[in-house]
Amino acid sequence: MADPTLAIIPSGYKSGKLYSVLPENGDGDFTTFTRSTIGTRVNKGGFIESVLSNVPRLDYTNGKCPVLLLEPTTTNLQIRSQEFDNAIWSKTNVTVTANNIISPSNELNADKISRSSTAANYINDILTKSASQLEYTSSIFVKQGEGDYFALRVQGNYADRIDIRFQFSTKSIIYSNAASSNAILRSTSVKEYNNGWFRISISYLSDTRNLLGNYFSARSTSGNIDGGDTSSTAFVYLWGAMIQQNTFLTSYIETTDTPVSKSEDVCQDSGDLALFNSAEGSMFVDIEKSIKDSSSGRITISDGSSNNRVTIGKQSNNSQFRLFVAHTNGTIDAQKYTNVDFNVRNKFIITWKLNDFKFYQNGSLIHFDISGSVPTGLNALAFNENNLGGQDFFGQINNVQYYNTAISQAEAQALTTI
Amino acid sequence: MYIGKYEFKDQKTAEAKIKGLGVATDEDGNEYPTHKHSIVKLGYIVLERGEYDSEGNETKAPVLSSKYHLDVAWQLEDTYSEDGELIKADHPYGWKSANVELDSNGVHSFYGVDYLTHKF
Repeated sequence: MADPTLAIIPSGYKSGKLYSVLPENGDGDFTTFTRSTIGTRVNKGGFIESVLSNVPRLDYTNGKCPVLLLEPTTTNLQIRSQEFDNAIWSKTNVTVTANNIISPSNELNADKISRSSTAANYINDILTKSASQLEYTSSIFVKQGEGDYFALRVQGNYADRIDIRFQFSTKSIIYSNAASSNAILRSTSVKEYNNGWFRISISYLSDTRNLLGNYFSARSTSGNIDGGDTSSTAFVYLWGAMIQQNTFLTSYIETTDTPVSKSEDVCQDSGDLALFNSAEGSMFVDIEKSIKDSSSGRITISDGSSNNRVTIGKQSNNSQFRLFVAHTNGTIDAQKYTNVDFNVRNKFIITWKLNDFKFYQNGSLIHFDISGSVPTGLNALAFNENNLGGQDFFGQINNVQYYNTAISQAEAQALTTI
Repeated sequence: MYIGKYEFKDQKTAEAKIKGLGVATDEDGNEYPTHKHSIVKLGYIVLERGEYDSEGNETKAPVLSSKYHLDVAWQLEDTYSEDGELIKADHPYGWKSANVELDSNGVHSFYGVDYLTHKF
């Protein structure tokens, strides 16, 4: 199999630029990378660290091979996100010892949260919101101290509380319950970090109350935050509380006295007219994870407009991808809507030449079309709809490749097999 | 980059102003922004935090602003005229009248970006 003409395997970068592996002369580099604020990533050592504005984030959350992290603008609404000793955090039968252990950022700034009673026991904060149902994702980093359980609650009205219980020994959420249908549990997740730390998240539709409380409790037995426990000494370590008004979890954002927003990542301007063969080619993307935002995010080789383009992208329904080739004034030559699990790795290829279009997903040919023209003037690869911005793709990118020929079915299936 | 802080009489007015920055419609009829500015909808911001008992019952109501607030990180740069004269970037048309001047970061910050050194 021939080498790709253009290969983006996240590895080299500098401010404002993401280097391509191929071609070696730099013609495939993404020459525009912007993010107007600091962001965070998991570095090679497995610790969370800040990355300066306009610097691509190569994230090692999933292991030894980094992904390119592309995220939308997100805000952490939880103030004092790693200062649980601060007065804004209400303590009920809880003792907080500040800066007691090394945190996921490899600094001595994680707090010890200890029970002081077998009775109801929790630390919480309450934020003001509009009196309507809103989508939220709450998350926190937790490390086991004494006791096997950690309980979380999100709550507007008490009657509409949602409870979660995490068990350290099984590294899993063993219980989740929404007490009424006025607040809806969407999903939960657990991600393990260095040194016994876990990031636990819960996505939910709130009730209509004009406040939202987030509660946390260390436990030696399974139970909710306000249930009794056999232990009066159980404890956990906490760091990095985050509340986002959206349906998905993103990288951590530290706050002090105000909510803080991280701006979106924009990555475009790879290649030029000489690099891309409009008459025939193959476009491959390997996506570790796709963010379920409300947009139709695209990865596109285009002519700098929406007229001629080869596109692989998510649908706003967050259950499908759409693959298509368009020419001249945007006329669709071939396209396929395909069901996708956004939370797992997915690989796609589009191959195109005159009257021959093939689409592949995870090792299978999912669509072909034997009629249609080809695009002209392709000159840029971008993580948006047409290299001009708009419909930015957000997720974790393992690999993007372009071949200047339509690779064979056997090659395409081998390349996309997970 | 510049940061602007704005207040509008209501959410509808703010949404209309955001839409005026540019939107397009995708193949499925969904609108999406065509600009690259980061807009954070703060809403009717809390001027004084509420107070609550240990069970989450409100003991003192929060004080909210009567105005709808936005923070914007503008992807705008200063330019130079043909004579080499510096032309400072300014609020996009129609936004200046809603601008709020603060002497601190206020109730919201952009990560690692100080408002006072990045305001218009």
